[in-house]
Amino acid sequence: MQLLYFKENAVDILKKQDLTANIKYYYGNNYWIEQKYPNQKFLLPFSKTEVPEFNLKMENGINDDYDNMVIIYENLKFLTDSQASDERLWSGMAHTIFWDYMQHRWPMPIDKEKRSRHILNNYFFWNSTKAVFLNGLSRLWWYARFTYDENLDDPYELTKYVCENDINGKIFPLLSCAFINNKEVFKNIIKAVKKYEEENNTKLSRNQFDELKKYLNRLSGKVFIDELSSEDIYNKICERIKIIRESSSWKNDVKNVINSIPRDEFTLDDVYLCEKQLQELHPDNFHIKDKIRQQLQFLRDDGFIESIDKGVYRKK
Amino acid sequence: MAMNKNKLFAYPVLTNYTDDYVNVNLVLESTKILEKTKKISKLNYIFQVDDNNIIKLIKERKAKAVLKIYCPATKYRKIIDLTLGTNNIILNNADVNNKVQLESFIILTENIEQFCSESFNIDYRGDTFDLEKGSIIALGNQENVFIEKDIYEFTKVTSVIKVRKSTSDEKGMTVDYSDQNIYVYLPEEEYITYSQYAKHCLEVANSMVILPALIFVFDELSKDDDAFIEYEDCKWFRVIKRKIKDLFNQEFNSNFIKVAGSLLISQRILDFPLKSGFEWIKGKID
Repeated sequence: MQLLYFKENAVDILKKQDLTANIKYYYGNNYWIEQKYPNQKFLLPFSKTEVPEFNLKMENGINDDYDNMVIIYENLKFLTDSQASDERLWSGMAHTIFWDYMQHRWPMPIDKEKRSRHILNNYFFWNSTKAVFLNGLSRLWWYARFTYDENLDDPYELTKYVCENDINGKIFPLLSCAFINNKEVFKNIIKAVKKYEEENNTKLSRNQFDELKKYLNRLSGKVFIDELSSEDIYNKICERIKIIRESSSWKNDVKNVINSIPRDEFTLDDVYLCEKQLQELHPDNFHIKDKIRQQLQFLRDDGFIESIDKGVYRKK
Repeated sequence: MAMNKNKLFAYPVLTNYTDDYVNVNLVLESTKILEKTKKISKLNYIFQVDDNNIIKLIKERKAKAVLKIYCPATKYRKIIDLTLGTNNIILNNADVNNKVQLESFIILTENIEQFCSESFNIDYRGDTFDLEKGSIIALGNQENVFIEKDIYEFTKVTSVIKVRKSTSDEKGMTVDYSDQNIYVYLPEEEYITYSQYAKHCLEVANSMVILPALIFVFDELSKDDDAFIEYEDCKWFRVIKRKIKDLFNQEFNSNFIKVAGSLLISQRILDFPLKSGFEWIKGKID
C-alpha cells in the first residue's frame, strides 16, 4: 500500500483555518476531504516504493493497543526518527488509510467543548513536547520505538509491559522527564520496575510510580543519569521503591488512626495514644512518635487534614 | 531540555558564569560552524580546562567531559564523550529535525570521596565533598543548532506568510507571528476578494497585505531583544534570518532593525513590490 502524507498547506488549512467548520465531518466517513477541497492536492505519496498491506486491529479499543503497536512498528520500522516526528505523515495517514481506525479508537467526545482539542491531539500534533505520544497513530509507533529491545527474547516484552501497566497514568507522565529521551535510560527504568515487581510479587500504584518519577527527576538534577549502568539504575530504583512503599504504608496506618478518632478536631496526643498499635505494625522502627509527626505533615500536605494550631489538627 | 543556568549545586561546580572556581579557564563550546551534507551534519566541539585536579581526574578516568545532544522534535538524546582539544561531532540528519540542543558537562565516572580543588573560591577553600558517580563537576555552554531540510534554505519569505480569513469580527487586518508561519488575518469580505484576485496581481497584493504585515512584525521584534531567542524555533524567523544574511550580510537582531529600519528591510525582502505593483496598475489603466 502507499503511505500518504499531507502537504504543509493541508495541515495548515485543516488544523488552523477550517478546524471549527470541519468538526462535524469527524463523524462517519472521510469523503468530505475530497468533496470540500476538490481542487486542492492535499496528499503526496511518502515514497516511491509501497509498503506491504497491513491493517490495525479494531475490536477492543485500548486493549488492542499492544497488538497495534507491534503491527505498526513491524511494518514501519524503516522510518527514521526524523520522519516519524513529522506531523504531516501521521495526520495524512489519520485522515486517509487509517481513518476507520481513528474513528474506532478515538471516537469524538460527547462534550462539545472538547471536540476541537480532541481533533488537534489525535489527528494532528498539538502544543506539546509529547505530541508524538498523543497523536492517535504516531503514539503506537513511538511507544514501540521507545520500548523495542532486540536484546530480549521477545523484543516487544517492554511494549507489552507498558500497555498492561496504566500507560496513560504511569508511563505517559514519565515521558515528560528530559532524561527519558535517552531510550536506553527509559528501557532500563522500565526493566528495573518490572523486575522489582516480579521479584516482590507486587505492582506499583499510580501514586507510587509518580513518587518514583519525582525521585528520578531529583536524581537527574544531581547526577547524569545517562551515565548510570542498568545495574546502577536497578539498585537505585529498588532502594527508592522500598522507601516509597514503607512511607505509603505508614501514611495509611496513621490515616487509619485518624479515622478512628470520633471527632473532626484532634491533637497530636490523640494520635500518640495509638503509639503501641503502630509499634506492633512496624516492629523495626524505634522512633514511632517522630514518624507520626512526619506522617501528619505528609497528610497535611496531601490535604487530608489541616493544622489549626500547634499540635491541633482538623480532618478535611 | 536545557539545564537551568540558575540551578544550584551543593558543591562547587566549574562554569563560566559562576565564581565557584577562581582563575580557571574552561572552554566547552562549538566553533559555531555547521557543515551539512545530505546525510550528515558536522561541527567541531572544543574542550579545554586548566584546573589541575579536574585534569588529574580525567587522566585517571575518574571523570570525563561529555556532550549531550538533544533534539526536541525527534526525541533524540545522545551522549558523546569528549577528549581534550577539538572533537569532531557528526550527526546523522535522519536522527534530528530542526532545533538541536547541545550541552556539555564534566562528570564523575565513579564515586569520589573528599573531592576538592586548589582553585575553589575562598569560601570553599579547604572544604572537601563526597560525590557520587555521575555527579556534574563542570558545566559548559548551552547552544542550539538548526539542522533542517534543505528545502527551507530555498524557501521564499512570502511562503512563510499565510493570508487567512479572520474568525473574529475585528475590522482591518491582524497579524499573528507566534506560530511556524506568519499569519495575516483579513475580514471575510476582504479575504474572499484577496483569494480570488491576489494571484492575478501579486505585487499589488503584496504591497497591500504582505508589506505592512512584515513592517509590523519587524517593529514588534525590535522592541524586545528576548524575542530573537523566543522565535528562533519558528520557521518564518529562520527563513527571514537567512534572507537578511543574504541581502544585507548582517545578523538579524533588534539593533539591525533599528539601524536599517523596518520599512526598508521589508521592501528589500519583497524586492520592492511598489514599483512592479504600480506598473501592473498602469498596464491595466493604459
